[in-house]
Amino acid sequence: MTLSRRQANGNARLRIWLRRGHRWLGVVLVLFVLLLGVSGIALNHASDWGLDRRHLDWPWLLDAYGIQAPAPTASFADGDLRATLIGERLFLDDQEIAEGVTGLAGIATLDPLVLVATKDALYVLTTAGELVESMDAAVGMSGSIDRVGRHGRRAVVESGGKFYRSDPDMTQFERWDADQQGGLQWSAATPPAAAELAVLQTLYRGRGLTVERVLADVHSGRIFASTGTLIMDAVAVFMIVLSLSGFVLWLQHSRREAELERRNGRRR
Amino acid sequence: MWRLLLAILLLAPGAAFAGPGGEAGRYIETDEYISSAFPGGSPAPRTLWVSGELRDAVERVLGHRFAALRVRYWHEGARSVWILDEIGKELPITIGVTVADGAIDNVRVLEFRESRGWEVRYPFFTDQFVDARLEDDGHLDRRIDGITGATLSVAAVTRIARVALLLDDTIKTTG
Repeated sequence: MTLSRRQANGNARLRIWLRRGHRWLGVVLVLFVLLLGVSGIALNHASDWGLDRRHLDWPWLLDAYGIQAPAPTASFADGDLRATLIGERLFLDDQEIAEGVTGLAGIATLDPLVLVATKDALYVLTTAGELVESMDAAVGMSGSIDRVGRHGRRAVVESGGKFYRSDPDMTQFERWDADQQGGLQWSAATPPAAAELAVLQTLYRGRGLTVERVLADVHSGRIFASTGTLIMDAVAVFMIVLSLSGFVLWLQHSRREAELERRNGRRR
Repeated sequence: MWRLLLAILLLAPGAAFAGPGGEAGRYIETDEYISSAFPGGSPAPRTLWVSGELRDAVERVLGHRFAALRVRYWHEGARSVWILDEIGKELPITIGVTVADGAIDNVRVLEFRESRGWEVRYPFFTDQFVDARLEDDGHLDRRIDGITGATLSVAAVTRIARVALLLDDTIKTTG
């Protein structure tokens, strides 16, 4: 066999392998290309589509991410209503009413209104949990709020060693003399029942994971920890090989076409 | 010498991005802001119930449900002060707006809780609102220039400025 013949056979074999490899890589990569394309577009528009504000609350996914709710920092009950602070998130029964809260001072129920006091703010709500108004404790009080209570149909707040009593609609809080404290009931911290706590912790966990974060982890492969990253690295390498093999095949095909055209031209 | 140059090169970008006290936090206490709006002494707070047509108008400006049923304000003569919360991206920004004779006298960011967008606290941004009034279509009578990287915070402060003007107009017309 001459050298050129051997070379031609070798080239043909390489072409066959390239073509096979290119085909199989293409088939294997279809799903990944779709996944990367769709997740990439979604990530580019995450803010516009609200994916950074939408949360996933699937328990198995939250477990996989290791997202756990901390134990309640404080919990106060008055009548049928309970205010609980978990982490920095404040709940009235199973409704979230504020976040970024650093301390809970108590609750006073004056049906149809309820006052939930944190160290820095007063939240007036309906007993159905609808926010009527939030007030900064720094306005008209002596600093941060220490405790909250009830005196008849009025809410009472202790701040900086001074007492402030509300009107029945809780629109105003005015200084109140300490010697008028007969019949005053201070709100006392009590732990929530196990069932109530489970509901709150589920709610807490449900806000811990955004769609954007899951998409970013799917896109990078981190959703399956280091194995996923390695898989996506392999996919990236396969995509490079696919593009290069495609280019080589195209180049060989073009050369063959040109050769054929040249030969046909000579014959004529 | 080369060590000094190296130190400058390494530290300069960090210093440029950090800026003096540029991070999120409480910038001014609410009562301090109210006092500054009424140098002769702060009036007692009043409350305005946000219901019916007013609620519809406020929610049209905000583009979402207005969480509270009533808002607290301070009013004396032709001046009113409003302390309102609006979410920029995820957490509320507490904004103080002083309205005088139907135009904005002053806008201050009292507290910013998120990690990005706090540039809206600076006067170069808030001064754009001074003298702004509401047009018939509920928009401001001027264009507010944005800040790169703080788009959502800029939009939140602008919405609150419009809401404060709307509420001020309501207390004037309803007495």
